[in-house]
Amino acid sequence: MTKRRALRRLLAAVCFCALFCALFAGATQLLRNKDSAGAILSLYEEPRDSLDVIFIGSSHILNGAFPLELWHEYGIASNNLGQHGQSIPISYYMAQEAIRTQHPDLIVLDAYMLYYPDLIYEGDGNSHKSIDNMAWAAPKLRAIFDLFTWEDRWDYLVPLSFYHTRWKELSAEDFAPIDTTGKGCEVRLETTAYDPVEPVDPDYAQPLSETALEYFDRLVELCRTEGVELVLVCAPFLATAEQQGQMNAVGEVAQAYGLTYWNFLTRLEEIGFDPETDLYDYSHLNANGALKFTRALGAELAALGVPDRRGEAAYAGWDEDCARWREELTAAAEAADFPLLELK
Amino acid sequence: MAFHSPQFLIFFPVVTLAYFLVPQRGRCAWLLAASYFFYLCWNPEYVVLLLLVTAVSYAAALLTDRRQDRRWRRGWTAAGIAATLAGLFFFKYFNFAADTAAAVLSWVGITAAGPHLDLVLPLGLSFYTFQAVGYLADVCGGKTAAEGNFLRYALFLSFFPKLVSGPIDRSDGLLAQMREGQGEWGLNAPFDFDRMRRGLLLMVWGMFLKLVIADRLAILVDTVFPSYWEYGGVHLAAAAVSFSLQIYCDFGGYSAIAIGAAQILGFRLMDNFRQPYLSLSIREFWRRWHISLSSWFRDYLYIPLGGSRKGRGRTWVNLMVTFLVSGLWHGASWNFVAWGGLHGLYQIAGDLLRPARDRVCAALRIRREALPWKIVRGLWTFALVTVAWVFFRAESTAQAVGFLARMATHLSLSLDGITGLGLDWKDLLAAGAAVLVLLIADLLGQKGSVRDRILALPLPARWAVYYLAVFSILIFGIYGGNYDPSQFIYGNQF
Repeated sequence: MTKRRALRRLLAAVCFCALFCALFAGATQLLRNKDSAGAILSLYEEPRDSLDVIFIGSSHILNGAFPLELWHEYGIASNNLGQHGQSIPISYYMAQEAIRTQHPDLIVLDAYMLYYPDLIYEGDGNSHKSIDNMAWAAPKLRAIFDLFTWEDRWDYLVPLSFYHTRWKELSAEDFAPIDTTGKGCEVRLETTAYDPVEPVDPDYAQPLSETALEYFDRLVELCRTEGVELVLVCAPFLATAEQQGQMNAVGEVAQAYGLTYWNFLTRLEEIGFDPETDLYDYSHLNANGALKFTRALGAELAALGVPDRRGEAAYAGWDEDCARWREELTAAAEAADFPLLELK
Repeated sequence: MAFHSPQFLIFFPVVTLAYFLVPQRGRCAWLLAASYFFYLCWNPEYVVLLLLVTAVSYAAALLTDRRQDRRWRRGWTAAGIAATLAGLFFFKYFNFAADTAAAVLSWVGITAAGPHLDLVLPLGLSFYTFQAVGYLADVCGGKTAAEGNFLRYALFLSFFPKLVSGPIDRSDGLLAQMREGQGEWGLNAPFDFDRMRRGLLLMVWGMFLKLVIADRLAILVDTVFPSYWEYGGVHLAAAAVSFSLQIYCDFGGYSAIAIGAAQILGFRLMDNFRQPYLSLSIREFWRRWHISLSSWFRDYLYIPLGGSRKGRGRTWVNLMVTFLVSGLWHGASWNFVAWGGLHGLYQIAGDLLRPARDRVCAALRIRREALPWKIVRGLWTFALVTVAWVFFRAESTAQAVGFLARMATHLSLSLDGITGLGLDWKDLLAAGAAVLVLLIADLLGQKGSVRDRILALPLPARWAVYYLAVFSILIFGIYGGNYDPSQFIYGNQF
């Protein structure tokens, strides 16, 4: 074979592979499940090192903390990296990703999953929602190789192998851009009314998950090494006596590590939480519950010294993002016939 | 390590790359090491059996080759074949023989519970054993010289593309390529871009057959067969036809991957399937189906029994013996024997009915070369093969008979409930489209190489075919499959 012919073949092979990769990426993007994807993808729309606060954890924080409400009320630049069923081991890697991309001053960890049964992750769907939306960088790869067996790793390394059967359920939404207007939060516009639960004795404590605590210890170490302050929070929900005991136990853990912990299960009255109007289901806040929780959270964050960025040139787009989000939220509430609290 | 596993997608390129990088002297050892590693990934404990069969057949062939005297040659060959077959008999047929003996004894009034061993059939045992037996027969018959190089012979038996499910290659095929010093094929063949391209095309085609058609239809088949009494005639017919297509695409797909992989490495394996469902008779079907095995039975059983040289009656006996043994080779169970027997009977019946058929054709002035007649014959052959496959797929002969009886007695033209057989309408549509592609490919394949046609296309069209093939597999293939939509029930932001 002549040198010229060999070069031509090599060039063709490179072009073939490049086109293959592009088509492969396109097919993966089209076929992947996009539910809740915006929660994590919104992180990558922010300029590097522009966020002061990042939330990580389960759907409690995903549905409970509204970054643009925090901006509106306190000028706090934050993003919500919470995700459905995000276990503490996955939150640990999510914190690595938050530090890699933003290096925030503060990471707020939803404490709810510290109680969760001794699992590395909770359900294939939920772990995919967190990990598939992370960028291809060291934290994602570390998570895949640390948390999963080889059988499952393949599904994370080549998501098309996991999602390809979705060709049967493709809809117009799969071709639309993913909504990231809320800077990571997910809003629930339905209400289930509940009776209040009896609060337990503040000293009543129940054991936490050992696996979660192991990764929590690694998370604390990571934040210390990186100079990021870690704060624990428990959002309001209809906690059983045992769950209240577990969230009390988180207080002991936080004290042992010298961390701040805001247990809103013990401050329900103070924030005006009403189980008849503020819950989507027994475990998750609806938009009204989330607004109350977010405002209380904002006050705590401001008290911790998180800066008010309003008026700073680098954050000029945030007011516009905030206005658009509030407009969309109001319109969606009206469409769902949801009695949304007045937005200040 | 199945061919369609992620591990093979890593294993094969690494082995191939290293194969063409190591010095030619080291290629045999490298391929042998890779083949044993491949086997160890499946069946670590049974690698001893592979080694034993290799050593025994290697030694028996050398001992045969040293003798000029025919009796000694035959003696060593018989001993070698017996020893080689011992492992196959023990692992595959011991329980079957013991159960059959117990059943026969109980028939004559003697109650005897035969020993039942908890055995797992070592993967590929039937294939490499038959390859070794064929080699011993060839050495005995002077068709080939005994191989003196143990590594080369071990590679002949264990070459990973064909180790697990064939094709069952021959001494004048694969072994000859391994022996030849120069040439386009064999251990010394240089890397060839065009050969690689052709091999890859065949592998992709095999993956398509396996993942898009076979594994999809398997869902329907596995839904219907175990509880056939719950379904109507149309559903049972759909399951039977699906199994005919499944087994072709499964085994044909596997063979295509094996032949393609070997081709990339520079080895030409035997053809195993040649558009079998386009056959116009059962006899023709067996010239196109699992060719490496059917030709093995022809050369090493049917012809030594006398073939068709000793009169019509003896030919039929030889045919029945060959097909009954072939059935038994496919599985140690009476339903496999019945499957083989049915194919033997089809051919005998075909012979018997030929004069009547000829008279009918003459009376009706049917032009035998006309397309409609060919289509009728093709469909009839497919129907006969499909009926026989029911025995192959069923758990027992009784189940197969029950299945066919219900299919015949519960016939209706209603397609109601067809989407309740494990595949929804979108999957049925995908399966139908893929089978149509297979039909077109087979029709084109009758007229010449489909790969040649593809490779002759201009570059954009050629690449479009490649991408279409690969993405059809990636998207419509049955693999992975951990995705569960119910785990994604939460909606979007608002």
